[in-house]
Order: sequence, then C-alpha cells, then structure tokens
Amino acid sequence: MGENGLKIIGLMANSEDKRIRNILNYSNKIGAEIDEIIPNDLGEIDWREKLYSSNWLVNHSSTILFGENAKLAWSNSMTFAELEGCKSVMIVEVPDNPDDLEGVWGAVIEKIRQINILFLDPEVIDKISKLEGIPRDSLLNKIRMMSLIPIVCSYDTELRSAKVSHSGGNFEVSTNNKLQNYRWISAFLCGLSNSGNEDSGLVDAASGKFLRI
Amino acid sequence: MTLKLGPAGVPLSCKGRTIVEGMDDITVLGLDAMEVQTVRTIQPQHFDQYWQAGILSWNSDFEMNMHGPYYAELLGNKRERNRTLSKMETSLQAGKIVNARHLTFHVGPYGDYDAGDEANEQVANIFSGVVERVREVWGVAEEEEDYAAFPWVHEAEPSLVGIETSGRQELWGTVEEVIEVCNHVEGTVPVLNMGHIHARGHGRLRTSEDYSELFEQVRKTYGGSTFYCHFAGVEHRMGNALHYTQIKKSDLKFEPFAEFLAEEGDWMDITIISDSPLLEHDAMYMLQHYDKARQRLLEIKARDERRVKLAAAQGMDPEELKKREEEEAGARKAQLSSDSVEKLPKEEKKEITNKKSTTMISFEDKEDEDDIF
Repeated sequence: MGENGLKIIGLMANSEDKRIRNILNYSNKIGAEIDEIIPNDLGEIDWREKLYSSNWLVNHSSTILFGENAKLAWSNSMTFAELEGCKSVMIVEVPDNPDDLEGVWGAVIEKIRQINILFLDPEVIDKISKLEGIPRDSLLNKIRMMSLIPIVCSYDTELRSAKVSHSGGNFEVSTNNKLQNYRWISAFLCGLSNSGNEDSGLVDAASGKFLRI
Repeated sequence: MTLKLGPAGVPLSCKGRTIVEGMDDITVLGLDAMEVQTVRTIQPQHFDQYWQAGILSWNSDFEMNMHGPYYAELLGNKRERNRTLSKMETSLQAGKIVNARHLTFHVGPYGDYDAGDEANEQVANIFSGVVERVREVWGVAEEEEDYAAFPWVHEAEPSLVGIETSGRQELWGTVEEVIEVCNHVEGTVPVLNMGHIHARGHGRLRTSEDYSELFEQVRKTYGGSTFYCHFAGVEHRMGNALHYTQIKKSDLKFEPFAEFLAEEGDWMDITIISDSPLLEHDAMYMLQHYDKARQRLLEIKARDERRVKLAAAQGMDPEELKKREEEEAGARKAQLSSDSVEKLPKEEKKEITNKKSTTMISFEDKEDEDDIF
C-alpha cells in the first residue's frame, strides 16, 4: 500500500498508453501505491492477484479501440474488480476519431453496472449530451439517476470547476489551482479514500483539498 | 411451472462480444434467456447479428428479450417524450429482428405530474401507442415475402411491451402504478424489477412470504400467470436505489425468492433476468439456489409421505408421529451437544443410549436421515 494506504491500478491500452500512465503517476506522487495491467497476453494476467489488493481500477473508454485484446481486458478487468471488491473508475473522453464516440459510449453503457465512478471530460459532455438528447447541464445527474452509478463527475480545467453528482445530491466546487484533468482525478480518488463517502468528504475530495495538505 | 433465467446482455465471460456468441455461452451455462440492451441505430453489422440471434431463438427454447433506452422521459415535455419515443422505435424495430418476446421500457421521472391517475393515464396513452406500433411493425401481410427469412414475424405473437417498476421515488413506476397501466393497456406486461421494488419499499423483500405477498398482489390486481422479472443486488437508502451490486453483497437475497418459487410458484411461468454487475455469474447463482430450494422441498415432501405411510402402518396419526420425531430429534441433539464436551469414555455411553432410543422407532436412525430416498 502507498503512504496514504491506497492502491490504484490502471488498465493500459498498451505499454505506451499515456492517459492511464499519467493518472497513475500523479496518484503515485500524492502517495498512492500504483500498478498497471498491459493486455498483451490475456492468459498471463493474474486478475485476482492484481485486483485483490487494489482500491481503485482505472479504465479509459478509448481502450476498447486498441484491438481485441485490449477490448477483452477492458471488459474482464471490471468483472474481476467487481468480484474482488475493487472499485472501477471509467474515464470517458472524445476518442482520437470523434466518430468512434457512439460505439465507445455504447460499450461504456453496457458496462455501466460495474462502474463506481464515471468521469466525463467537459468536451465529451457536449457530444454525449447531443447523442443522448439530454441537456448538458443535467447530463451528469440524469446519467447517474438512470444508471445508478454511485458517482458521476467532471472537471473543467479552465474554470477550475468540478461537478459531482452522487446519491446524496449534486454539487459544484472550485479547486485552488488549475489542475489538469488527470491530476484532478488522481486527487479526487486519493481524497475520497481519505475522507470517505460522506457529503463533506466528497466536497473535500473534489476541491482537491487533499493536494493542499 | 416454467422458469427461464439469463443475463441482461452478452455474458461477461464470453470471449466474443456478439449476441450469438453470448447466446451460445448462456446455453452452455444451462441458462435459457437473455435480454439485449438496445442500440441507438441498427447498423448493418447489428442487423446481421440480430437476425442470427432471432433464428437461433426461433429454432430453440431460448428466450430473447430486449431492453429499451436506459434513459427515458415519457412524462416530460413534448420534446423529451418524442426523443424517448424515437429511441423506443429503434428498440422495437430491433426487437422484431431479434424475435424479442418482451420489450422492456422505463417511464422516467414524473416531470410536471404528481403521482396518481393523471400520470397513469398519460403513461397508459403512450403505451397504447407503443403497443399499436409494435403490432404495426410485426407481421404486415404485404411484407410476408420480404420477411421470409424471419418466420417469427408472421408466425409468432408480437413482442409484449414490458413496463418496468422503478427504484426511485422521483421516477414513475411503483408496482401499483405499473399494474394499473398494464391493466388498461392490452399487450403490456409488468416487469417486476425486484431490486427496484425492494429499494423503493425500504427493503420490503426479505422473506419468501414477502414474495408471496407481492405476487399475490400482482395476481389479484393484474391477473395472468406469466411474469417477467429483473433481479440484482441493490444498495438503497430512504426508499431509493443507490446502485446495483452483486447479489451476495446486498440485503436483497435470492434465497427467499427461490424458496417462494419452489414452494408456491407452480402456477407461474416466469423469466428472471439477472441485471447484476456479475450478470451470468449471478444468474447461475440464482439457478443454483432455485435448484437447492426445489431439492429441499422434495426432501420434505418425501419425508412427509414416508411419515404418513409409517404412521398408517403403526396405526398412529401422522401429526402425532411428527411430534414424536421432533421430540426425539431434539433430545438427540441435546445429548450430542452435551457429549461433545464430555470425555471419550462417555462417548461409548452415548452410543448405548442412542441405540436404545433408536430401537424404538427405526426410521429415526441417523443413517436414515442422510438417505431419505
């Protein structure tokens, strides 16, 4: 376990996947133990060993676009996480080819019951909002309400603003500094593990309070 | 009684991700139903997959079903309602190709309506239109030749339109509301989502009697013996479902439901879809519990029948014999527990005492208890 008693594991699309690596690196800097899974040979992956001791499994929606192995590992990882009591985080961003978004979002919806935290990038919120025909402002809340994901969130770097929809309600909170998305996610996950799931704990975690301690 | 069980979607353990591959895997697991999630548009690759799945289900006992859009606002403003209806249209088109027996739909938030007759009427009106549309889409006589490769379109009944119970107070869909609408709209069926009913009822489904009460309510107010249910673990607070969990982690247990089905479910034809995060794993778990409950019931029946026979042979009343058996079993239990704390030489003593008592009524032998059949 890391300094803060937290272990975060990330499923990479391949060994060069910077998105997941960035989140892991940021998390490591703020005290979490990290590990990664690279889906080269699925038969080689000991899911139980990897996930049993982890608190969070971080996945990215675009991973499914990196071939069959990555797609299968992406799906399997969330199932094993569920079995091993490790919580799943899904980061949704606009894919490199925006036309892939509909397929990617469809795949996320299929796995929605296994996701504990859904992070939507501000840019993707606009697109999903159009795709689903749901107004942008209420998208997070409506997705959470209908899919029963415990936390649906987003962070806008330019506005330094985090939006969180959870079972106790919705809130918006600012961070002191402009954080890069992945850095905010790392801080949020580490913060959550430190402050628990109570409403005030969620606000603290989303405001990046953990980074200031 | 017919019980069909299956997951909501392609099994998690399925190596392929197509519906047909999923159906193969489900069959191998000993399950026989599936509910596919709707897509936004039917692409050519979907069409081919759906048709293959339809053929497979048509030629077997496999029950295919389809779930409509996960997000619905049928009680919203005109724009919201039309948006939902257009998503539902895709589901019913896909349902036809896949030979879906049920199309399951949510209604969504109450919107500007209060819970009550007005909201129910509006929902009933909308679903009348949906049922009409399903019937239009299925089995158009002029299209018979075009659909020669889809025999079910002309030979089977159109999909039934399922209206799902909701798990949150702000969403339309209590059991009463759903039944009320289903009673008024022919071609609709209630979809009893046990997780939702449990959550909305502040954890109301705890014992087999609770299930008995629920189905009695549905039977009395709706009628019919065909049921379509969803089952998953659920975390809930203040009458609201918070999120789905695997069954083992929830206070909504499947054992009481299995017990109810085994003991009182003879009159029912029921399909249970596992929409737990562990889809087919939990569907298997349910099947195992149902089998166990049936086994237990058979054991009890066999024991009762044997008791009646023995009582008749000994000229006793079966109830009297049962009472005597229970007393002796209790005495034996008490003796066994006291023996376990005593030392070894006393063990021999116990054996003698046991032998003494067992010579009186031979069917109370320990050996007998283990080997009822």
